[in-house]
Amino acid sequence: MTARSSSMLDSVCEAILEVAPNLSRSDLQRSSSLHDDLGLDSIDLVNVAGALAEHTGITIPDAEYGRLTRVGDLVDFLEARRSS
Amino acid sequence: MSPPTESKPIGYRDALREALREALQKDERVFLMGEDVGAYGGPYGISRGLLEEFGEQRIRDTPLSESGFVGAGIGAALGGMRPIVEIMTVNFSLLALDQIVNHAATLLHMSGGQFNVPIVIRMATGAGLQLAAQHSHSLEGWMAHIPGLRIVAPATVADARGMLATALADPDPVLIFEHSALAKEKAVLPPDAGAVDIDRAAIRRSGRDVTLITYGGMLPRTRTAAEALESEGIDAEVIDLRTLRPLDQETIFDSICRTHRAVVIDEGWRSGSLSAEIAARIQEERFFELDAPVLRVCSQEVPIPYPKVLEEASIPSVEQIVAAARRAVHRDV
Amino acid sequence: MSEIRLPSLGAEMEEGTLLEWYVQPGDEIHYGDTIALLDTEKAEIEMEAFESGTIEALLIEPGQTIAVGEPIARLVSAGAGAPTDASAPTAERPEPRPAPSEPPERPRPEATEVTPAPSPAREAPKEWRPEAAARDAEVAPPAPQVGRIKATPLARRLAAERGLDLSRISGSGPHGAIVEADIPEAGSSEPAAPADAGTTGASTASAARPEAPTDASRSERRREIIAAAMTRSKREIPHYYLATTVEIEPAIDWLADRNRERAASERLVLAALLIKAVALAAREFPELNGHWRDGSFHPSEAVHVGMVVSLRDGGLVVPTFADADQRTLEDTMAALRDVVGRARAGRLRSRELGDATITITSLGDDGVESIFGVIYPPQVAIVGFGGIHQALRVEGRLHGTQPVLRATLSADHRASDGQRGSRFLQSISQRLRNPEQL
Repeated sequence: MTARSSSMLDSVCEAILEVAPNLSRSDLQRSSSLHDDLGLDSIDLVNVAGALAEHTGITIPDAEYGRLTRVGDLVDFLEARRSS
Repeated sequence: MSPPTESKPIGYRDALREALREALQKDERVFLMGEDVGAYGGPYGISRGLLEEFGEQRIRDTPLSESGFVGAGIGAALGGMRPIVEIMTVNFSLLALDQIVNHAATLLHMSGGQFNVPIVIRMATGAGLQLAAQHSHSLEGWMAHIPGLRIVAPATVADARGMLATALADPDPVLIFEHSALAKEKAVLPPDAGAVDIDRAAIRRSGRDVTLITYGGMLPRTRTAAEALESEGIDAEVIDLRTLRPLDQETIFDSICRTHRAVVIDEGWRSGSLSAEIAARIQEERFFELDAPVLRVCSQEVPIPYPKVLEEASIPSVEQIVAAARRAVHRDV
Repeated sequence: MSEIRLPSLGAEMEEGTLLEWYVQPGDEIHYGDTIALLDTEKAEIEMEAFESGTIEALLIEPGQTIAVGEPIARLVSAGAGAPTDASAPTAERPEPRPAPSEPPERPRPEATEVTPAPSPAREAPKEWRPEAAARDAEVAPPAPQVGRIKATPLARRLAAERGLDLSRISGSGPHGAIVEADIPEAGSSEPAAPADAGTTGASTASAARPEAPTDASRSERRREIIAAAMTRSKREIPHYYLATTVEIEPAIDWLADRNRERAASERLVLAALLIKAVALAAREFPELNGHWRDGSFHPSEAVHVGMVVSLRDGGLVVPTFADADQRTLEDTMAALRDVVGRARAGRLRSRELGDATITITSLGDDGVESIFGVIYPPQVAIVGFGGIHQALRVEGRLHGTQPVLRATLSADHRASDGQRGSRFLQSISQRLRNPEQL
């Protein structure tokens, strides 16, 4: 992983942990499914999106939101947005 | 009759006999009087062999006159003796009530403290033997109403063995109630088993969820109820009062502060019973510890019936105790 | 120094005449000694001393008649030292009656003060005495009350210790009383006001205060509380159940439209619509919005919608959205995010729990088709929403699918009946089909 990737992964994990403090860092793999593996529901995800917007300054458009189902998806999306 | 060996269990009545023998041996002033205590060996065999061992002066058969021989006992006590007066059952003590309440209980007070009445009165009590309405009373609680009397109820073999000596050492009247249904209790006592205190209640089983308070003949079934409750996840504490007057309220209150819920099991009739007194004291002194009202399981308000099933239905049962405990912990679904 | 007074030696004796003194000043007397001969109209009676001591002065002479209770001699009590005027001659004639400066004595003279006899060999058995009132006089500070709240003394005390408002706690005890089991652990809401050890009374205060609860114990405790409440609900409330299928496509489309231009963090979720729809319908059907207390239904003017939120450790909390019928969808959404977020993090405030007038439960995210909730007493209804699933739609000879969701009502048959309940559900259904009006 490049330095940039790991810091975006960190940011995503941070946001998720803020919303779900019962999880631990080790639960959050790139492949972890937000709903099935981590137990986040629709309201949690809205809160995660909000936390991400706050930490990274990047907003996720609602249209994209539906397809970001894994931790890795979020990381990749945000990376792409930042570099563009 | 030899004293019990170390390992042999003895019965409740054997323990009473041992206590009597020891008392007669240790103090010349002690003597036993009552109906059939001598030649017959006692209506329940409790004083069997004592007449032969101690003679007529110390084991005295009395006429069929409770008022007369209790009065004589009081006189003997005033005169410096240490009489043990046996009234066959509490039912017959009603005939001697004037002697007990107006003389034994009050002479110390009326004499301005000059005259103690060191009398011990022993009585069988309780229902369960199909002896019907006039012979099944549990009047210990009633007697516990009277200032000037000490009321104790040995519910275990150890207490049957040990309470008499302490009662005899008391310079004032002590009434010992020996529940008939406890006759089948057996236990192993240490060879040096001796006097026990008559001031404190005993926690027979400790628990966290509810306190079951009882005395005398109701102790065995209260213990059974506690075991049944355990299998339901309710952890009951069982207190054996041992002394009914004065009540060891410290032990009771301590327990309430731990469990916050109480059920009193009393073979007396509910109205104006000892259980009512206990409930009143608990709520007076520890109201803010209570998570539920103090509940009571008492005999039905009827003269005790003769037929077995009716008699059983009229006194507290294990099922009733369990149900009350469930209500106290709010799990009476 | 004390006075020996004429005792009443008979039931109706009111006065007596001294016939003879047996003692004189300076004599030492003991309790029980005879000290004088009196004529009491009925008989000549020897009078005994009720105190020990030394005679200091004789106050009356033989032949004098005095009333019962009047002093007849002065005595220096045993151990008090020699009398100060021991030299007073016995022939001294003191006033037979008290000097005018002394107030007249009691109308019904009692027997002279009886000093307690030398104590007997043993004190009388200790009788029960009410313990010092100080120990238990501290009453748990009263909770703010809306009408009379039934709670056990222990529950009140614990609630006070933990700074909890009893009016916001649902009781699972008899007659709806709040019992110990209903009081949340100290750590499950905002930190309680520290219990002042001095005011909770009894030396067992420290034993009774709970230790800092661990997550596991808190969760277990919550389970117990839920279990108690649910058991009670099923036991006491006659539930009836209704279900309907809601065509949810309009709502989904409307949400998608509305959310399209927004950031994900600003999106509205279906739950917000559900809350608003239920709140508006509840206003229309008051028999489903209120509380059953003391044997009757009390409809609520306001609509406070409780929402069942599942916690990650498996428990539940039910935060309340106050005045849900009057909030905008945006407001509701913001409240939803805030409250659910904090609920999941275990940071709800106690005042956000309880006080709901109707509750929603939704397991939509978990895929079940429908859920029939258990009413939270003292409420009288709970609306359940299942997950969105595809249902067959038939129009003429065309077959297609449409998204639907199952909405259910569990209601208290004492407060409402099936017909009203059914109309209530229809109202919800109809509102969800017109989301722009929410």
